[in-house]
Amino acid sequence: MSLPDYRKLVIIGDIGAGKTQLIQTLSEISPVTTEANSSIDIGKDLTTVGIDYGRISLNEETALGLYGVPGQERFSFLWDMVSESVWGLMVLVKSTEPPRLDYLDRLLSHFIDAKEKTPCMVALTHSETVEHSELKNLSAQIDLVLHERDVSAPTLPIDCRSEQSAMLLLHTFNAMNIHRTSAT
Amino acid sequence: MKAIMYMSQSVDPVPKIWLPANLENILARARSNNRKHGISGVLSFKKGHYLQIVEGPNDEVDQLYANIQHDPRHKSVSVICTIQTKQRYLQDWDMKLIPFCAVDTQFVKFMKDHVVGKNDLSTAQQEVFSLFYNLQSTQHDRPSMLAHNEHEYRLKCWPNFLDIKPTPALLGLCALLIGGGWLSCEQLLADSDYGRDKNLHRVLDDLNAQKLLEHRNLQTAEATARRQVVRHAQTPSDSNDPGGLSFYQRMKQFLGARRVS
Ligand SMILES: Cc1cc2nc3c(=O)[nH]c(=O)nc-3n(C[C@H](O)[C@H](O)[C@H](O)COP(=O)(O)O)c2cc1C
Ligand SMILES: Nc1nc2c(ncn2[C@@H]2O[C@H](COP(=O)(O)OP(=O)(O)O)[C@@H](O)[C@H]2O)c(=O)[nH]1
Ligand SMILES: [Mg+2]
Repeated sequence: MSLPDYRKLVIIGDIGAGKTQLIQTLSEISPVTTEANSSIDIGKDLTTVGIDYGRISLNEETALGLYGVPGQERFSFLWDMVSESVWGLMVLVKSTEPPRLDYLDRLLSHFIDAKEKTPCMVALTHSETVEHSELKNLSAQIDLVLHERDVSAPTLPIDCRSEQSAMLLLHTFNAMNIHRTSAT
Repeated sequence: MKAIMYMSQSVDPVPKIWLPANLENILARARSNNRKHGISGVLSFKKGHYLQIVEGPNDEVDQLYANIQHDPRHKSVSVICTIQTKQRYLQDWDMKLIPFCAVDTQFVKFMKDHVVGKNDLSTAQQEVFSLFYNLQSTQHDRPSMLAHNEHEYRLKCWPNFLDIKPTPALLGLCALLIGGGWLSCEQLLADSDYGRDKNLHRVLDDLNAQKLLEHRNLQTAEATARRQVVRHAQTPSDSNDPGGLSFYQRMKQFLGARRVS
C-alpha cells in the first residue's frame, strides 16, 4: 500500500552521527504517532536490514517517510532502496570525528540527481562539544566537496535531540522544494 | 614580511574521486606547522588545481615555499605574485581552506591590491586561475547599494552558518534565492517569512555586504512568467483534487502549527 502523496527524507551518516536520534525527534513531533511499520512504505521490514524508519503524516493521504541509512559505502545496497522520489537528502556529519570527504563525495554522487536538483543539506552534529575554529575548518572542507560536485547545499550545526533543530531542517527542505515543479 | 601566491596541480593517484585523497593531511600538517612559524594563509582547490597564499616573516615564507615546491603531492607549481607587506591580509588563520574564493573578503582584498589589473599572468595561468576567481568581474569593488524595488536577486552560494545564525526565515529566504532564477522583492515577500519590506531589505543588504548576493534590474515580463512556475509548484500534483493543498502547503501548515516560520 502506498499513500497518494508520499515523499522521502533520507537521513544518512556514519554510526553515532545521530540518525536514530533525529528520526525520534521528528517522529515525536508528528501529529500522527508512528507505530512505524516500515513495510507499509517499501514492502520490506527495513529495520531488519539496518534502516531506521519514521513517518510524519500530514493528513490521511500525505506523509513524509523518514529513512535513516548508514553512510559507509559497504551499505550502498541500502542506499538504492531509498533513492527514489527523495524530497530531501540530509547528510549528518559528526563534528567530533575527522571528516571523510571521500564518503561524502560518493554519497552525493549516488543521491543527487543534478537535473532534478535534489534538495540537500549537511548538518554538523555533536557540534556543541567542538571549538568554533574546528567547526569552521570542518565545514569549509565539506563545502569544498559540495562545490566540486556542483551541489548547492547549506552546511549548518544542529543538535539532533532538539525539536527546534529538527523543525528547522523540515522548514528549509520545504522551501528548497518550491523550485521543483515535478517534485515527487 | 612577505606573501606568495601560487597555483599547482594535484597529483592524485585515486581515480574518479574529485578531491585529492590527501587534502585532509595537507591541511592538518599545514595548520600545526604554520602556527609554529608565524605563517598564515589560505588554500583553495578546484577541479584538480590548488591555489594558495602563504604570508609571514620573509625567511619563514621562503623556507615553506621551498618545501612546497618540492612536495610530490602536486606538480606544475607556478607563482602568481610575490609581495612585500607590512600588514597581514589573512590574520586569523594558520591555514584557511576557502571553498569559494569570490565570497571570501580577505581573499578578495588581496586580489584587489595585488593581482587585479596587473596583467602579469600568462594565458595558461589565466585559464586555471579563472576556475577560482574571475579577474574581469567587479567582485573586487565595494558592494553597491541596492535599489530594492528596481532590482531582482539571486544568491551565489549559501552563507556560512557558523558566522550567521541559521534562523528559519533566513534559511527559507536563501532556499528561494539559490534554487531558481532571479526573484524580486515582491516575490520574496510573498514566499518568504519576512512579512515586512523593512526586514527583507535589511537581510538582503546583509547578504549583499557579504558578497553573496547578485542583483540586476527588474525584468518584469520574465518575473511574471517565473511567478507562474512557482505557483504551479505550490498547487497539488493530483489534478483530481484541484481544491486540495499541495505537499508544500500541507508541510507549511504543519510547521506553522508548530510555530516554525
Ligand atoms: C598544496 C599544498 C599546500 C601546502 N601548504 C603547506 C603549508 O601551508 N604549511 C606547511 O607547513 N606545509 C604545507 N604543505 C606541505 C609541505 O609541502 C611540506 O610537506 C611540509 O611543510 C613539511 O612539513 P614537515 O617537515 O613538518 O613534514 C603543503 C603541501 C601542498 C601539496
Ligand atoms: N550532544 C549531541 N548528542 C547527539 C546528537 N545527535 C545524537 N546524539 C547522541 O549521540 C548518540 C548516537 O546517536 P544515534 O542517533 O544513535 O546515531 P546513529 O548511529 O547515527 O543512529 C545518542 O546517544 C544520541 O542521543 C547531537 O547533535 N548532539
Ligand atoms: Mg542508529
